[in-house]
Amino acid sequence: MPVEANDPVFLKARDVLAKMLKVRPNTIFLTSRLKDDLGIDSVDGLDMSYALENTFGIEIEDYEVGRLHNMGDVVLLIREKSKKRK
Amino acid sequence: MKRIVVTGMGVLAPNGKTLTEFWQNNVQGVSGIDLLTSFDTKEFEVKIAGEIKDFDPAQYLLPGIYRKIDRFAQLGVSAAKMALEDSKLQITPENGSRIGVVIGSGLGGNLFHEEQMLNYLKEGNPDRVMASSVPRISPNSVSGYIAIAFKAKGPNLALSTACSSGANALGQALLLLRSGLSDVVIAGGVEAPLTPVTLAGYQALRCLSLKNHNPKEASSPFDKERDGFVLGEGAGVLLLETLEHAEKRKAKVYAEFTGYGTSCGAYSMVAPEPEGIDAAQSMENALKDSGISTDQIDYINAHGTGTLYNDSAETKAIKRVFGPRAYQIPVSSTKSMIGHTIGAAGALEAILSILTLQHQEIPPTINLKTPDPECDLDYVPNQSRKAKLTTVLSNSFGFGSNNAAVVFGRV
Repeated sequence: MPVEANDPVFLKARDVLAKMLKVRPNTIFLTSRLKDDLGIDSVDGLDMSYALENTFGIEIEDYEVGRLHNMGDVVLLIREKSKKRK
Repeated sequence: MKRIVVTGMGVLAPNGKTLTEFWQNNVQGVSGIDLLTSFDTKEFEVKIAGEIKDFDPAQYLLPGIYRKIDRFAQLGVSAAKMALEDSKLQITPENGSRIGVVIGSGLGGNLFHEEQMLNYLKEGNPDRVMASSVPRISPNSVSGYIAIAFKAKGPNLALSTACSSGANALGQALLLLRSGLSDVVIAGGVEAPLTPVTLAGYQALRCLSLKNHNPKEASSPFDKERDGFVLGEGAGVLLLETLEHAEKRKAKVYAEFTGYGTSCGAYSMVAPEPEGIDAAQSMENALKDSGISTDQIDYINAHGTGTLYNDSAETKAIKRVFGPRAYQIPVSSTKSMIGHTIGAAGALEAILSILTLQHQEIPPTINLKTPDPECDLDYVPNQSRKAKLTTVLSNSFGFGSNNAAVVFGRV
């Protein structure tokens, strides 16, 4: 299923990232690139995965963080992990 | 020996967020002490502090920098930005490796550290501690992020000697410049100690004023009724460079940084040596380093914390160095207005001392009402004073019997 801009998982993940990055949620888009647009470096990536794990009740492996390029990828990973949890 | 000058300054203090505001409030005796608002002090005996109100790091730094750092580093990097802008120095790929950074801090990134400890303790779960804790709480996150933000690629040092950290950072920067290792050093001190656990620690140490009922009058250095210092936060950063480098780029020069003295009393981790012997040694070392005699000091910016022990020991130390002339030298305490900003104090007070040279006026020691026979020098009580000032000395004494004195001359 493609990810839409009103996807509840995206909106929730966007809020988590906005809080962490201290930016307004409406400045983060599905197409925002983690490194180039949001300035998320390797240490931020670890903070982000902890924050997403806590919010969505999932477990993300460190190598999986490195494969994420944009917010759309983040949403797909959360979906996949949430399915496994069920 | 190379001559070193000050060409830029940036301040964030409880009574001023620009150089102009900081100067005006200090010379008018405006206190920055108030009831502490950043957390609930209901269970605390101490309820007052020198906070920097309405500090918004976004006014100074990009989100890519300020969101990654603790408040102490936000203050430090912001003050460095102000100092750099003031100096009009352009850092380029060509000159970057000749520009160093030396920043003092007594405590490091305590606010973030405490938040992470609380997260851990809630569930006893190490996964609740953020990966970015390590770079955020490190004492060198200030000097590191100053380098990252402005591309200063020379020597980069963090220095921690408690309450003399800021003055020692300036002193070590002076040595780097004289040695030829750098042409420019961004140097100063920072502290953000207004966190629950840190305040609790200082409170337990019985060194803080309990005059909660009248915050503006609580910090009363050299007064007989003084009952301790008021904890404050702040950052002071100076752009120091060789005179040759400053002249080449036609920089505005505030003052010459003529000398630095430091010593350790090897006496106690918290109390000053009561006769001021080691404190006197640091002043004597600074005068010797400047190549001047005791007759040439026109003003002393005291460490002047407002504790029973510091103020009497410092008074004795000044008499030990200057003899009968001690009574003729105006001495004042900036901490009477901003409280004790720990690692930032030496840098903020150096900046104020340099501003006295520029304005030819001495800021007062406020709240000095009841003379103490143990403290009988001219502390410029309650009113600023016009004076002819050529050379000024600033004292900083830290826990661990660590002393630093810096001397600046008018240009």
